[in-house]
Amino acid sequence: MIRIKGLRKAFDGKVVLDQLDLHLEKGQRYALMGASGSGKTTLLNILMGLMKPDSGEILKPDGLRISAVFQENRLLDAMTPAANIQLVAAVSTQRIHEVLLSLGIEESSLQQPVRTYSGGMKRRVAIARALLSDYDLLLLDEPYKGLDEDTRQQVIAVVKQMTEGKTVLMVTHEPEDAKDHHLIEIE
Amino acid sequence: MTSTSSAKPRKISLWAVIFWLLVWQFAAMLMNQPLLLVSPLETLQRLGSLVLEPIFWKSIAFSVGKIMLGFALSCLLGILLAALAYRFSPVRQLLSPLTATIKAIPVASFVILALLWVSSKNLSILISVMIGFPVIYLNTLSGLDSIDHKLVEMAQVFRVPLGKRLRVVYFSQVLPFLRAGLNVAVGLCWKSGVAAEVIGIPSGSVGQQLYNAKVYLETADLFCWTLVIVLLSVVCEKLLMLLLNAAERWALR
Repeated sequence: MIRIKGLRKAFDGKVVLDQLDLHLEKGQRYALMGASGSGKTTLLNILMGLMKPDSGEILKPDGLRISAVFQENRLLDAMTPAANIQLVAAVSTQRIHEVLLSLGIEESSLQQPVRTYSGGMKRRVAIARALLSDYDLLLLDEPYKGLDEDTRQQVIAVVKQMTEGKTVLMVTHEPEDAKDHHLIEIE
Repeated sequence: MTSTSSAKPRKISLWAVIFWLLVWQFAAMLMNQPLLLVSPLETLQRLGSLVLEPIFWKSIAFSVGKIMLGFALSCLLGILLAALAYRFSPVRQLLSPLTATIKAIPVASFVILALLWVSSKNLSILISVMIGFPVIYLNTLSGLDSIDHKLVEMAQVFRVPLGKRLRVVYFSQVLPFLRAGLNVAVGLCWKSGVAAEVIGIPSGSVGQQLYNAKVYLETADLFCWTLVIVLLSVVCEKLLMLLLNAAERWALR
């Protein structure tokens, strides 16, 4: 589905991605692991089209639709979670609320603007937005960061169920999160 | 002049208004010289008779029309040029000395100079534009500069259509700055617009009424017209805030 050849990216002379080759097959889940500063987020940014590589090429189908959970939540704080999600996805409010409830957001919070949410709640809204958007490739950048253990397990289960048969590339530092994923290690 | 939506709302308590009206009333009674200081009661009495005269409403219609037209033009110019300055840095560099100069020039100098260019009838339009424009331009530009680019990237990745992106991502983030700018500008347009009318004395304007009151030493009229100007400015400000609240609901719907 996506083939990356000889990808290179440097910032101020410091090389973070050097001759990276990668092949992502359709319908598979991948976990991208590596030390901090090894270029994991840079790779996601390049795949999202937010950054250009210095050299190398990415072969991907025309009109590839990408969805993402960024390192930061990137939500509009004045809007409700449903409005945030409907900005990017044509989904009914009812369906959005179903997903948010399954992610452990309390019903009483659903009508509140995101600015009133805790960090963990905002993270789950960002995850719901990514899951409910139409996509061919889902990019997750440390999606479970900041979630307590119980919530984390609950969210992992929902993500697993909703991404069944989808192509997923997840950046993580947690080996446990990488279970059921093809492991890609970069240095 | 910039501010964000975190500013505390200004609230005026009724008791404080009554207190200052009483101070005014007692001061007028103590002085007992209506030529120098008219009491609030006498001002209200005079206002009661003025509202029955057609010239009162004609003057208000004239000044509201001219000053609000000037304000609308300053909005259009300020927002449009701020968008261009945000996108093209040469435009920003070009406008920077201009806005700094306009801000520094006293209104009276502008008025006298402008009288050479336009008729006194249209003077308040030009002055309102000159005074309102830099405030709106600089606030809008500050709002655009403060846009969170991570949200712009998010909208790009999720393929949010351009119209929706402009409305939700850009406009909603600029709105608090625009609100502060428009709020200040509408008050300034009123002050400078009336000042221009007092100097230019266009026939049938609020400024002319104010001028006549001064020339004929009709102090009650002077207080009345001042009160009317304050009320008109407050009403315009409130209507503007209602409009901006509706714009905010539209942007975040």
